[in-house]
Amino acid sequence: MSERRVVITGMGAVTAFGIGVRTFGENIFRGNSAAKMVSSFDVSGLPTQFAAPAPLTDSDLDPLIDNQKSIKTMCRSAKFAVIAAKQAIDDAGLDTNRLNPYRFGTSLGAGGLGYLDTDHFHESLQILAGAFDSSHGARLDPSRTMRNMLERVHPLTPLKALSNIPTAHIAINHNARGACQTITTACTSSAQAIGEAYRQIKYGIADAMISGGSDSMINPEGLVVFSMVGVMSRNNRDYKTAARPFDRRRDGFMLGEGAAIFVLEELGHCKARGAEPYAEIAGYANTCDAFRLTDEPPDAWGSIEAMRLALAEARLNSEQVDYINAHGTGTPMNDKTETFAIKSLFKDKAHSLAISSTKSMIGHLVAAAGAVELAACVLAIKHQVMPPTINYQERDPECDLDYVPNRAREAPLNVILSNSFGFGGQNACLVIKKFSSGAR
Amino acid sequence: MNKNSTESEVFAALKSIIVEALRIDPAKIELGSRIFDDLGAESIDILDIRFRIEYAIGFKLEEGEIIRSLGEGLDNNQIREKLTVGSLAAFIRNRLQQA
Repeated sequence: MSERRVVITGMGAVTAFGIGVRTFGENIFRGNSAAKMVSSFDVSGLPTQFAAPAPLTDSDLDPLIDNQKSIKTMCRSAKFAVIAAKQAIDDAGLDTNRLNPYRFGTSLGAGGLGYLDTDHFHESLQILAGAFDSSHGARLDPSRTMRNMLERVHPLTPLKALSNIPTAHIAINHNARGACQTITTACTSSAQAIGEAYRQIKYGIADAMISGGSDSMINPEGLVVFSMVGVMSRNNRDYKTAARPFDRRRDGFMLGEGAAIFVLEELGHCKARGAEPYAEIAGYANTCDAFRLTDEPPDAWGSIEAMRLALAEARLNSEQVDYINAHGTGTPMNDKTETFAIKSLFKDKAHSLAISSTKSMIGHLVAAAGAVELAACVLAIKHQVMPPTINYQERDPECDLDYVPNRAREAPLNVILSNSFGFGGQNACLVIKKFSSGAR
Repeated sequence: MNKNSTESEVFAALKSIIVEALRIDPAKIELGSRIFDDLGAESIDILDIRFRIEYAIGFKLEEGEIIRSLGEGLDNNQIREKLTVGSLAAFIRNRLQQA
C-alpha cells in the first residue's frame, strides 16, 4: 500500500481582524496590530487592560450559524468554531453527502474556560450577591449559592461549559461520524488536534477531517486568570506596541481570541474529486517536557525533540526549512528558550533562518493559537511571503536570530515549521510543505 | 402571565417562549403542534422551555411536573404525541390558577 499523504484543502478563520481567512492574511502581511483597550467590560481593576479581541458581537455571529436553535448551547468560542468550520467546508468545496460519514471526523483544540463569558460572570456575581446571609453579618451562605444557581442559571449552561461541545456541533452540522476528538492542552491544543487529525488520515482511519481550534478568553475570568499567573504584558500605556516577541523590552503576551478550522484530506481523496490542495502536512510530533508545569527545561529538550521528530517524519533535514512560525509568545522565558531550542537543533543554519511570531499582531489565542498560526503558514506558502514580528525594536542578546522584524518578507517558501508549546510542558510541531504532485 | 390571563394570552406568551427556545417561525406554532415531532424540539429543549415558563409565571415548577401533567405512566411515544402547544398551555393555565 502506498504511503497516505495528507493535504489541506479548505480553511476558515475568525480572528481579531474579523471573519474570514482573506482579511486575516491581508492584515498579517501588512504587519497590522489588532491591539485594543478592552471595552466590553470594566477592566479598570486589572493589571492588563488591553487585548486583541475579535470585533464581533452576538448580533454579528449568530446570523452566520445555520442551526439557529443550537446557538443557546454555544459559548463565544463555539460560535467562532462553527462559523470557521462552515467556511472551511465551503472553501474546500467538499460535498459531505458524498463522503463515507464514518471515515470523516472532527478534531479540535479547545480551552476549558470559554463559557465563562462576560454575561455569565455578571450573572455569577448576582448569584453570589444574593447568597449573603445578612442575619449573621456579611457571610456568604454556600448552600444558598448552590440553590440560587439551580434556580437562576439557565439549565443549558453546563453544555456551554463542556470543551467538546464545539467539536460536537461541527460533527452534527456536517454529519461527520468518524473520530470526534477534542484536545485541551492549553496553548498546544489546536496544533495537537491538527496533528492527531493528520494521523487519523495518514494511518488510514479517516479520509477527511475537519480540524483546528477555537478559544475566547477576553472576558473577566480570562484576564484575571492570566494576570494571576503573570504571563500577560502589563504595558497598558504602550498597548499598541506592547506585544513584542523576541524584543529585549518584552514583558508578556497580549491575549487574543478566535478560531481557525481546516479541511484535511487524504491526497487521493482530494484528487478524485478534482480539488486543489493549499499545502501538504508532511510531519507532526508532540512531546512533553515532563519537567515543570510552566518552566521550560534549561536545555529545552522537549521542544527540540518535537521539532526534530516532526522534521524526521517529514523526511526533511533542518537545511530544508525555509521559515519557522514560532510559538513566540513574548514572555521573557518562552522567547529565550525557543531561540535556544532553534539554535540547538538548526546549528549554523539558525542564524540564516527566518522566524516570526504572528502573536505580535493577533495576540495569543491560547487553545486556538496553533490553528490560527497554521493558517498564517498556509497563507505564507500560498503567497510566498512570511508574516513579520511587529513591534520589534531592541535586540535581546539571548534572542539573536532573524525574526522578520516589522515587515513581511517575500521568499521562496517550500517548507515551514509551526511551533506550539503549552503550560504543562506540551510541545507540538507541525511541518507543512508547498504541495507538489510528485512522490515525496 | 398571571392567574387572570386568558387562554389566548397564555397561548401568545407560550408561543413567544417557544419561538425563543426553538428559533422557529411563529406561524408554524398552533395549539395542536407537537413540541417534539412538529416543532423539532429535542430533550434539552424541554429544560429550556420549562426555565422560560418559570421566568414568565414567576415561580418554579417541580421536576417532571410538565410531563406528569400529560398522564401517569406514559411511554416516550405517548409523551411525544401528547406534549403539544395546547397541552402545555392548559398546564400553564392550570398551574397559574393553583398558585
